[in-house]
Amino acid sequence: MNYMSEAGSFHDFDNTKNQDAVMCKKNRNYCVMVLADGVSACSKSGRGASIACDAVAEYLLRNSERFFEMQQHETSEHLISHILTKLKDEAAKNGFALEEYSSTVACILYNRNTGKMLYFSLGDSMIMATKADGCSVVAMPGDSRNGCCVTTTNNASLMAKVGVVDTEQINSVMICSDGAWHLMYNRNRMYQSVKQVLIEQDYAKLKEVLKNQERFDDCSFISVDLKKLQRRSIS
Amino acid sequence: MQIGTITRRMKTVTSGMFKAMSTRGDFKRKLAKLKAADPSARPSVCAELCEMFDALEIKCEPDKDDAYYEELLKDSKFPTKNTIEQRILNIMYENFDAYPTPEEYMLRIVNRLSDSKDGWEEDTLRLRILKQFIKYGDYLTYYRDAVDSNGCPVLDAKGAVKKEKVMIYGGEPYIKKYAQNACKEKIKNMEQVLCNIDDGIFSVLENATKAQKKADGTYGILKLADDLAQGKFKAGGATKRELYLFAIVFKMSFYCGEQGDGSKTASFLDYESDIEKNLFEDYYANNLMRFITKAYSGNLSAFERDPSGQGINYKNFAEMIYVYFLTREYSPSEKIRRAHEMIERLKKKDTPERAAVNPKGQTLAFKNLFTEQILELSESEFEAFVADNYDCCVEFTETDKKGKKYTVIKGELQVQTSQQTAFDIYKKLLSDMEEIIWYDGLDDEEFVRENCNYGLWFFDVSMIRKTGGEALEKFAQGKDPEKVEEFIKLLYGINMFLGNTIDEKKSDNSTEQEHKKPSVRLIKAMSVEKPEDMTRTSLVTAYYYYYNAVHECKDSQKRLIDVFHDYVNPETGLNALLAKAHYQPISDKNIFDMAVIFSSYAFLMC
Repeated sequence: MNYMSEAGSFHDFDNTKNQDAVMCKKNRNYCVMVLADGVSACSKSGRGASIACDAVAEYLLRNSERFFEMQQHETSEHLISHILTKLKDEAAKNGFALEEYSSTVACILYNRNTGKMLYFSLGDSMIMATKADGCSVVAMPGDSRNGCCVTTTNNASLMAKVGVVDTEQINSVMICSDGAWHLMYNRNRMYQSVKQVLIEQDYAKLKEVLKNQERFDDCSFISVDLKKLQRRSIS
Repeated sequence: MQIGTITRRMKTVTSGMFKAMSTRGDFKRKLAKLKAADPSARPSVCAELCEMFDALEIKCEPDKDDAYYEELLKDSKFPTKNTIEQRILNIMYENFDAYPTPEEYMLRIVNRLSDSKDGWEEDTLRLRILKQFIKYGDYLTYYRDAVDSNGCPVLDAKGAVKKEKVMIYGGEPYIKKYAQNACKEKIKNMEQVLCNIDDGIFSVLENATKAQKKADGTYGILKLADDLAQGKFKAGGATKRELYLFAIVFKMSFYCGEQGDGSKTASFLDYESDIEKNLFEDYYANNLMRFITKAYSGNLSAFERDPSGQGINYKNFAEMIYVYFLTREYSPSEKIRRAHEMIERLKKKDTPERAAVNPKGQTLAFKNLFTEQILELSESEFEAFVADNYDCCVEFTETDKKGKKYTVIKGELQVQTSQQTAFDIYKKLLSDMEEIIWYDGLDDEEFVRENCNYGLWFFDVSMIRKTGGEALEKFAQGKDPEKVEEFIKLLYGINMFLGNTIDEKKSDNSTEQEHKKPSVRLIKAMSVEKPEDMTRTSLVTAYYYYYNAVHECKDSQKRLIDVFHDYVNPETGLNALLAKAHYQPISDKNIFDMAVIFSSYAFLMC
């Protein structure tokens, strides 16, 4: 697993910390990877992102088989309602409004035996796959022209992107916060130099590229090498 | 988590309009919900009920018991068949100025895509656009190797190839002179120009000649920035080129969509910068609000009345070249140079055999042809691809009435403009309309296309002229006269597309004495004869008459919201046809779309 999570220069003005959270957990048969990006305007969003990561990772691993059998909208409803339950508990305990814990969430659940991968994305993070000859977007960032959809948005489950893909051709999967993919893309097209780095899976170089650029927003990514996780190939 | 101003405003307007058209049945249902609500839900249901009363201008107090609302409902007057037209007119009048004009859309695009480091936020919109063209588009000029009349390179004294300047748009010398006068010293660099120009630079346009305002004229680039800022769409396809140049200097993005084989690529739809969503759909759509803007006032014939509504024309080779370079990793000025040169090279070639492409020239086939893989081709490969697959011919031989042949040279963006797919859908809709009406058992002769010209059902535009404005007097009572005038101008504009606005004069005849036979003048939108003339407005209009004919006499119980849902139904409604024709779907931000739906509702009610 490779990851990076660096605070953006935005925090120089308001003295807050990095509000992104990343997490990767695995068991014998499954691996889950989550990234949550806290809404900078909300005072507890960093904590909210962290709770969302924990909640999703634990819930997906505990119910992994069931999730692969669910309809897309069911997956979405289950995940969001579970996150909201955890956030509401925290908000009630500390006397803050639920909205203060808002964040985006993007995650994957990988079946190490079958090679199937479930993805879920709410908000403007991006899930991308790297193949031998290029990269592809698995879940594109949501439309944030009218405000980004986050965990506490009404009817958030209707706006999440959910699906299952076969990873036979995929070498690795990566989740990027908007602060990270903005630096890797020229508007909506990946810079050729970044594409090359990803194909080579040179994450040290990628971190260098991201760290050397001016970063206003928090910048995070998390990536796993699916080929190394696959139990099928080992046996 | 801020909702965009335009979208937020339109959500409120649309929901307010639907509420204002609520019927007694809607209120009864809401009251039943209130009675059934548990104590925690009651305040929100009660607030919704009060909002519905407010929209009908019925004073309503919150937090009262059920009996209070029951009494209020009993005493209130609701729209009846007789008052529905007046109510629609009033609602549209109250809300029409909330619809965004092209200028507002342009401001939103410029705000989103400008680099905040440039610090031009305080400048006027047209000045910001001009500065962007200057800084990122190098005044829309570039240098190329000079060649003589034989095509041989011209060399300088040292033996190097001479460079010559190509002006896509004129205006650079004037802009530099203006900046020099402002700072009172010799201009040494572009930064000085950008710091010393202000909105006054556009004042020359007021008295400029037509030639000076042409693209290559003395003030070409000023006119370009001014037109874009005000949403002035020129006839003859000139606006298309302006939009592509604008998209390049503002670094807009393009997305092919998922590939036909289901595979995905590393690019994605960036909603904030996407050229189709922002520039073609929102800004360059047939936004009739432009009829009431200053730019169009009294000047209608000079501008494009009805943009096709299709956005990118995937059959046009020049548009594909602009799109290709839009996605390249070059500076904007380099993109413009390379695109311009490739167009110049290709447009001289003869028409190719297009056996590989759908022989009917369907836009869909060309759209499917232009995949992400094509965008990844090298420039030479892409040029060969365009030459092989697109009709790049801009010279046409035509014959005059006397049989004499002559050559016509068209602009590169004016060729291959037919919209076969949309035209086929339109023709099928008209033929379905005639068949369904016949099958429904109505008198076949009652339904002829010539009768589809009544236009807006809730307002008779011709009556205003005919009665010398008397018809309006009641409506205008107590209203702002200027706003009323603007509103009527807008209704004229809408009716111009939807119906037959007969220029009737004030008549001394009584109603009984007047000619009663309905007009049989075929309107333009119901008589499109070739794919080149197809527009989104025509398809919407044809559907309007189809919908009214099919639902007439049967669906007078429909609510406004039901009619809206019928129109936007992605399987059976107008939206299904618009999607197939590659037009943008029904939008509650488009006043034409909303007026059509209101009019259908009025038609069914009356």
